[in-house]
Amino acid sequence: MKLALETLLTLQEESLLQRFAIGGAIAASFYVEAVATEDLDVFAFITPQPSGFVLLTPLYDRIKALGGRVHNEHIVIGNWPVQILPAFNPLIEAAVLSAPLQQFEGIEIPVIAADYLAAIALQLGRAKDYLRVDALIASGACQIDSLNDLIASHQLHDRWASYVRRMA
Amino acid sequence: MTDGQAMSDEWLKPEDFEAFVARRKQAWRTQAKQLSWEEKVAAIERMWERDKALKAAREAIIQSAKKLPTDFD
Repeated sequence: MKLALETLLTLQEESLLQRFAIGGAIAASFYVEAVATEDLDVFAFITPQPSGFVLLTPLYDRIKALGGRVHNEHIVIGNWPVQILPAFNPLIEAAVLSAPLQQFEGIEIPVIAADYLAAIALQLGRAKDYLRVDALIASGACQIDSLNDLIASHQLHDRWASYVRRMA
Repeated sequence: MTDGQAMSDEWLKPEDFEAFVARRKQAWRTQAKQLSWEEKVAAIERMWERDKALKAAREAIIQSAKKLPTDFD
C-alpha cells in the first residue's frame, strides 16, 4: 500500500495529478472497521492536456514507468490494484478539495473526510454503500450536522430517505 | 462458556446463534477500534489470501466432482 500512496504523491509532485484523495473502502477503513475490498479508489483532479482534454494515457504511462502495470481497469502498484477516477461531480470535487491529510506508515496522504464519504455513499446508493453510511454514523466518525448540510447542498434527500427505509 | 472457547454443539443451538453472532460482531468492532489504519489495511490484504484460498478450494471441489462417475445404469 505504501508504494501505491508514494506513487500517487509523486504524480502530484510532477503535476500529472492536480489534487487527489483516497476514497472508497480504504478511506472508510481509516474511520471504521475494515471491510474486504479488491482495490484502492482514488478520486483526482487530473491535469488537462494543452488541448484542454483530460487524458488518462499520460498518467498511466508515467505510472508504468514508475513500476506499475495495467490490469483490466486498474493500475497495479506494488500489490495494490489502484483505480484513479476523475472527480466527476460537485460532491466529489468538494470531497477531494477538503480531504484532510492522514498518516500512513509515516507519509501524509489526503483521505476523504467521513461526512463526505457518507454523502458519496448515499449518492452511489448501492446496498454496500448504505452499509458504509450506517457504519460511519454508528461509529461516530460522521458528524450528523455536517452530513445534513451535504445532503441539503447536494440534493440527496431522496437517497437519505431510501437509506432510512432500508436500514430501519 | 466464552466466545474464545472451541466451538461445541451447545453453540449450534439455534436459539443461541443470534446472540453468539452479535457478541462476535461486537468483539470485532471493539478490536477494530483499537487497530491503526495500517493494521486494518494489512487485515484487508490478508482477506485477499483467504479469498484466494477459498476460490482454489472451491475450484478443486468442482474439478473433483467432474471426475465422479455419472453413469449409474
